[in-house]
Amino acid sequence: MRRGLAVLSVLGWPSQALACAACVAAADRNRTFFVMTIVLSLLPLVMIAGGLWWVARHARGRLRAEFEERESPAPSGQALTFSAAGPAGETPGTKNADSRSDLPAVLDPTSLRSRATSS
Amino acid sequence: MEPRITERILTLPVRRGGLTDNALFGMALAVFVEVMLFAGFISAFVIVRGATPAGLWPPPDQPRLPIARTAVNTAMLIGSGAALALAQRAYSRRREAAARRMGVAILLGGAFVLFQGVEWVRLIGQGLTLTSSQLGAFFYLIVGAHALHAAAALAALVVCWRAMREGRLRASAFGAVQLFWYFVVLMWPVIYWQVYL
Repeated sequence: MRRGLAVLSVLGWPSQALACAACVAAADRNRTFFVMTIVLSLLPLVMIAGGLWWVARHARGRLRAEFEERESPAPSGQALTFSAAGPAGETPGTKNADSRSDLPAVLDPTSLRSRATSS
Repeated sequence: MEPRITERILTLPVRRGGLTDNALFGMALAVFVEVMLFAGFISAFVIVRGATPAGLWPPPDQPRLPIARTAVNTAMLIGSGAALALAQRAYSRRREAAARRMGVAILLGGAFVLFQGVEWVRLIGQGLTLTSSQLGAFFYLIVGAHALHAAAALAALVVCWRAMREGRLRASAFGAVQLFWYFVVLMWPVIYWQVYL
């Protein structure tokens, strides 16, 4: 009984009377404004979220590939190692400041200089 | 003992470039802006149409837009996008097939722009101009802006197609042009739905 009264009261709730055509048109216009405001507000957010999702998805794959490559052993003779202290046990500046025995010949400053002077 | 600089360098992550391709990222930003531009146009059109009293849209004294013929045109444009997607699939393995499919995409896209131009001439002849009504103003603004984008994207596709045939097309350039063409293709059904139907 109570529930029935509640339903009746909700159904009979007074609402705005839109009798004239101008009022109806105005209501439609307000609704269109509202819908387009929602669309224009959400569209950039959705696009930004989509872009971030895309970048995150690709970045994960790229970073994983880079670290897998890093962890795999390099082929012998191709790895470049650079040391500020020079070869183990040697103090920089005691022998030849330019001599870098840990560098390949093409990168050794001494060898580069001698090649430049000979040509 | 302090670790040698070699050991310290080896512990750093290697970064061979950005998280995404620069050309693709730049094009994505441009497409973002263009989507908002068209969203603004379509929003204004929908609001003006919604404010018109019932039965007065489209304006009774103005010609009707060619819905059926434009539907065929829409199908051609979507077919062009599909052909470009197939070209992308073949790009890494079969360059000749990719160039052929890209040629089909260009032909379909060119046919779309051409037939839109023909429709424009017909509508102008029937009295729908930029100043004849709000429908005409919005129609030429929205469809014209899309046609400009379609023509620019077609020109970029032709440049890419030539580069692909000569074997000097970079994947990043191809990706950026693809993104632009997909924007043109996917924006059109929205325009057709809102402006024509």
